[in-house]
Amino acid sequence: MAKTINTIINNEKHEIEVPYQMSLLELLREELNMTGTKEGCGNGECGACTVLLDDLPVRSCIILAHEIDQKEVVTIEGLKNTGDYEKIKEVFMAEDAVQCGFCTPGFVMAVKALLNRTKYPNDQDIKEALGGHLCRCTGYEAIHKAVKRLV
Amino acid sequence: MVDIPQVENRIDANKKISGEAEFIDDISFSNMLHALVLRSPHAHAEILAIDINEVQKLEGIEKVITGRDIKDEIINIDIGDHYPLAVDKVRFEGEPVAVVLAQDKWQAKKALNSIKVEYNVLPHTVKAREAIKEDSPLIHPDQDQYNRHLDTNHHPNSNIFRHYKLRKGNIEKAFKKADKVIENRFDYPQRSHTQMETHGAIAKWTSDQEMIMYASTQSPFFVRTAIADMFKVKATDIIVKSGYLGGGFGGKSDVSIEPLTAFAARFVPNKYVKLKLTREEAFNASLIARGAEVELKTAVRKDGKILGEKAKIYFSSGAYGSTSVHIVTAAGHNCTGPYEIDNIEVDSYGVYTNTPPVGAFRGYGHPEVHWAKERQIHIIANELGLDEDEIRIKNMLKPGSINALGQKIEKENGDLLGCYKKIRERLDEIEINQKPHKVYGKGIAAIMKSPVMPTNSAASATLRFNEEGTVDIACSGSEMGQGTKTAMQQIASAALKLPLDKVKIKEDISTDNSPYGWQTIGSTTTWKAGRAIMDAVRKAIDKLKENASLVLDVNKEDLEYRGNKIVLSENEDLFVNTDQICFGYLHDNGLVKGEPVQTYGTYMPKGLTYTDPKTGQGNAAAEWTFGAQGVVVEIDKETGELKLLNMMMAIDAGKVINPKLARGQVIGGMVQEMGGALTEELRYGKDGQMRNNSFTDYKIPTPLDLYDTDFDVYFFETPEPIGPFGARGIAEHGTVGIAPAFGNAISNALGIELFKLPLSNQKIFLNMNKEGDLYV
Repeated sequence: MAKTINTIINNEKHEIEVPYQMSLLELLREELNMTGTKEGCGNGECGACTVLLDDLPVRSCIILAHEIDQKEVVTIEGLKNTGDYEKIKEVFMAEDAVQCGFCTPGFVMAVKALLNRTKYPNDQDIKEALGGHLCRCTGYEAIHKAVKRLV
Repeated sequence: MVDIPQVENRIDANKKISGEAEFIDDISFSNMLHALVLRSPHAHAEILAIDINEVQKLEGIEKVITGRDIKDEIINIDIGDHYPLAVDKVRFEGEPVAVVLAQDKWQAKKALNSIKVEYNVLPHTVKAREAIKEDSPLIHPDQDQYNRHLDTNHHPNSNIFRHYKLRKGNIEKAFKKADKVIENRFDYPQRSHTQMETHGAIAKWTSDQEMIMYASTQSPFFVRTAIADMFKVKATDIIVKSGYLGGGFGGKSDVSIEPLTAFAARFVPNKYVKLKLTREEAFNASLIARGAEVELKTAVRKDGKILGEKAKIYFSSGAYGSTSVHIVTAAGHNCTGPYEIDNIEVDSYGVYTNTPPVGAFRGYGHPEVHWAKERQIHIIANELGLDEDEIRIKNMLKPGSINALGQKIEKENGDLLGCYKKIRERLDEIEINQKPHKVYGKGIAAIMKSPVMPTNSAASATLRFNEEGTVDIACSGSEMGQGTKTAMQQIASAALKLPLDKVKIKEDISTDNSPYGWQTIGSTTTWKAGRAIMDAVRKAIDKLKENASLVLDVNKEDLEYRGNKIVLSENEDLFVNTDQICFGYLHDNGLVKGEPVQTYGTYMPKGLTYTDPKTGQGNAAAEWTFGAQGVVVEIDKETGELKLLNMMMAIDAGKVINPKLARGQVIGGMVQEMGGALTEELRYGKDGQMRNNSFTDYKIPTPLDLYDTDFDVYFFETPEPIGPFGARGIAEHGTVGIAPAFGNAISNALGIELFKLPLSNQKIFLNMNKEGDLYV
């Protein structure tokens, strides 16, 4: 069983036939070869696969591909050309908020979503934005410092 | 002291932030087959029958492989106890029983359900203390007959596959002389590494019987050796490649899924086969971590002097032993903590249990025994009515002390006392802003760590000057977040006296052409691969001087290397630029003098020996690292909820190569261990099935747990003679003393002693108005 969907991914229109059981993450990684979005758990628990769906951060592993019909998706690949990306990259680098880098694109997407929501995030905003993201390397200190630099 | 050139950012930061960095699951090949694994639902069972008739008929299924396909392929690292697929018997829930290969993973998924397996369920055991009982089911009844690459001193007709003994002095005399003997048992349960990237491997056998594998491994050369041994082929016919790892922490060292991937791929020559674990499989079908019960019986004098200590350590090592033999040893060496104790009797056991096999995990035996030792010191202090600092300082290893292995501690081993005092000083100066209904506690622990490794665990590096005067360097240290390549670039740049941008470090490893490196484990890469690079640099400089001497027509010995040029020592006006001679000097008439500069550097830890089988002593540890750690916690008096306010470490790093990365390693290690201290524990049901194989049920620290925490990291720099520019490894050490620091902080806050990790809010709540140690 499959469905044909119309969607915009990273500013590009797509008309694709997707099986009903396919997740958005699988569509991105396996069909469209956008491997910047990572799979950490496949259960919506870790945040590594976060993308923006109509500007809101979602876990692409628990969104079905056919659900993005008539919607717009932005992945880490599409974020690269935005000004916010450069800012986020700069602070992540300055604080060395990256170790193995596997969870990083998900964190970057979360921060981008945070900046979409508010230009001047407070502590509570940052906690809400990052709280559901797991990182096993950094201990989060550097990530928190990086995001606070954006404030 | 040499100034190490500082990089602005780690060399791979841009790739990782942008998602360009390729991890194993980002690699695929056309016509690649997906391997899906049918796993045992039972912790211990005989396999009576496997019916694959139905599944083979399904569309798109290329091949189904079971244990019946195994001839004599066995994974024998130290003990030949492990087949890549279960043969006749399963020994843990999650053990591979059959593999389905298909181009379409949906078809493969469906196929798994059509394989029928008949089991005869056997009694099982998941805890070492149960498994050592005489009436316990034997998990490997034939272990006597197993081939071993190493004498592990196993106990016949028991589940004990490894027994490490350490003997020093006369323990019975110590107990007789003691004013007090204090005996406690401490439990450190099994954990999961939970690297954010699960394990993956892709393998293909060519028609020339050569295997090419891409794997998320910290140990490509080790994997090569193990797989070559398994198939009885030459190591050179096994090519293992690895690139970026989404976290390793020891759980991707030795071997985990690589032998199974190689075995499955053998049935479909010329096709790549990819096995990528789901998160659930990463929990219950890769390597797990720790799992030790430690009994300490300590003889003390009333002034706090420790006269002797008897330790029994029981590791619940899981169903197969090779990946934890040396953890048992490391825990044995280090269970005395950083103290000089004259009379020691240690028995450390690796015990088969019906869980996934335990493998290396950041800290490698040390956090388990420090949990016991540093809690024990705290309890001794309370029982003797003495200050815990006084006891620690009185017994501390210092220059001239003889450690448990019989090695003499030198000043160059590091400033343990300085580190400890620094942490106490910092803890004392922290003023707590007390809130109603909360209590507060400060906890401290001293630590020591030594890597345990084969005596011939070499590292090496290659160095190549390019035509423009830039330098390429390769060494086989895996990049898994610790920043190895960045540190190597800095070490090379310092040694070559060339700017950072002239030195490039090769990032991926391929065993067919990368310089040999045993494994990226044990916090050893900075000093071992670093030393190999320095060796290569030394030889390159010599070669450059040789070229320069031909060009300048002077003696090589009269020349001095200054990075971008080579000058005549007594007359600096006579020189030649490095970039003019690094490829041989080209005269106007086309004549070339000298040769391209390409060198190879090696490093072997010097003077390591096997330990004496009777005493367990010997030169088994190549280096020692000392430090101290502290935490400040807030506990809600009504709910038991614990909040971490401060976390800190002082460590003698020898020489910090990159302060930002070093701090990140220490903090990352501490927070990872905070998981073990407060929340993480693999739990098994009565049927032996793992009950919490997801991030929902197995709680690792989240940003919310750390948002309001203040961190302090202090580096001491007593140069380590064997390290590059004096550097020691520091990547694991953050884990070592965090659990006891929490335990001691809770004791100070609530007056209760807890003995079993994790120190969950629930456990604190249930014990807070009691005397402690309700077994929950």
